[in-house]
Order: sequence, then C-alpha cells, then structure tokens
Amino acid sequence: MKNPEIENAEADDDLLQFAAAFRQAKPVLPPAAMERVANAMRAEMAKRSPAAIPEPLSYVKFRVAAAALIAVGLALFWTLPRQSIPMVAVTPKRPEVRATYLVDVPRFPAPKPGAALLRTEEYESLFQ
Amino acid sequence: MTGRQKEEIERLFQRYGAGVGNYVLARLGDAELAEEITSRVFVKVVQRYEQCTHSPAGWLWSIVRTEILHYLRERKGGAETEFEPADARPTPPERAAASEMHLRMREALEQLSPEKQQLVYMKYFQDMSHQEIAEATDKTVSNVGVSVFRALAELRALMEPAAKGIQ
Repeated sequence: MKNPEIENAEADDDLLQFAAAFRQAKPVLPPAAMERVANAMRAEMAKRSPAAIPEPLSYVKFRVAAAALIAVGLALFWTLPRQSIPMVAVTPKRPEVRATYLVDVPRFPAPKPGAALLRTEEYESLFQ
Repeated sequence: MTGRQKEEIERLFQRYGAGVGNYVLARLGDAELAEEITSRVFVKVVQRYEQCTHSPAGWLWSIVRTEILHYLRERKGGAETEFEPADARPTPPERAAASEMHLRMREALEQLSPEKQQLVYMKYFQDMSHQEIAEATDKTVSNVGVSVFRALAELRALMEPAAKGIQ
C-alpha cells in the first residue's frame, strides 16, 4: 500500500511539473571547470602515491651519520694498541694460593684493577 | 594511496562530480567560486578517503556541506572574496530572467533545513533514486519519498514567484 503523501505527490501535477522544471533550470558548472576540478583531484592523488613521497632528508642524514659513527667506532676498536699484562688470581682468605696468567687488553683505556680476584702485578705487592 | 583507491575515487568523481559542481554553483551563484569550492571538496575526498566507510554519497554530502558552510562563514566573518556575483552583471533579458531564477533558487536552498538540502541535492542534483537516497541516509524508501515530497513542496513555496517562470 502506498503512502498517501506519495500518492498526493503523484497526484500533484503542479509539483511534478515544478520538479521537472527545477531539474532543467538548475545551473550547470561548465565542463572545462569540471575538468580543472578533476585535474586538481588527480594532482592530489599523484602527491599521495607512495613513489611520489620523498624520504625526509633529516631521516636520511640521521641514518648516514649513525652508520658512519658505527664504522669509526669499530675501526678505532680494532686499531687500538694492545698489551699483554700479567694477571694474578688470589684468594683473599688464602693469599698464598695464587695463579698468574697473561691477559690481552687494549692499552687505552687503561685496564681497571679486578674488583674481586684478579689483580695486576702492580697490586700483587699489596698482598705480599 | 593504492591504485584501487584511486580507481574508486575516479568512479566517485565520474558519478557525483557534476552534481557536486552544479549544487555548489546553485548555492553560491558564481562559477569561479563554485569551481574552487568543488576542487576543495574533491581534494578533501582524496585526503580523507580512508574515512569513507559507509555510503560514499552520504560521506561526500558531508564534505560538500562543510565546505559551503565554511565558505559562507568566512564571508560573514569579513573575509569575503572579491568576486562579482554573476547575477549582478548586466545581461540580456533571457539571461537576466535565468539569473533572477537562480538567485531565488539560491535563496530558497539556503532557507531549507540541512536535511531537506541534502534530499534536494541527492534527488535533483545527483539524480539518485529513492532507494539510493535511503541507503545513503539510513532511512526507509517510503520515508525518503515523503521527505522528498515535503522538501520539494517547501522549495516551490520559497521560489513561488520564480517557480511560475520556470514551469
């Protein structure tokens, strides 16, 4: 069953004529203008395609700088002069029991004395 | 933006582009300005396409409405552009009559409620069927029929003097 207002609308010839006339009379944007609108839209689409988005320069610079820093660090580490120093293992409770052996360490920075059981010869005298 | 999205946007433009342009022109009355606002609408469509999840026609309407309101608010705020309305220029009698009618159309559309503006836009500028409008507005088809009838009756009443001229 149809809605009475729709039936009224269909019956209202004047309104139907007005609707048809309204469709005919509405202003139309020229095709050339619509073409320019389409071009603006496509330009925006082109801007947003992945190939068109450049990598931010700062990010590129950051990666290059980080890679260079790592390379320099590794080079320095491998070229540092090294030395073999005798290390002596002692047991605080039994200082007479000790073992001496050589340890290969970089000259710089200077090796820190072992916190617990490893001491250099220099410190060995303290226990004698 | 993927190739598929680009195709969808192109289809959206092919289907609704002219309707948007004509409606904006009917609302603002100046072809250059209508072109600019329509361009803004479709640039926004590209920029925010991810937000279009339900009905493309309904979503597009929300952008059209926002852009027109934004322009009108700017104009009221004193940032009016210096365009000369087409209706104000001297024209031959038949063009003057059309301009007079377009002016009344513009005033009438402006006086309709946002909901009725949407219905007139979809029905008479986008030539959408009641079924399509129902899907875009989450209404029933019969409800759309009644609402379109009321919107059209109100539009005719608002355009009364010019309506006689266009019939």
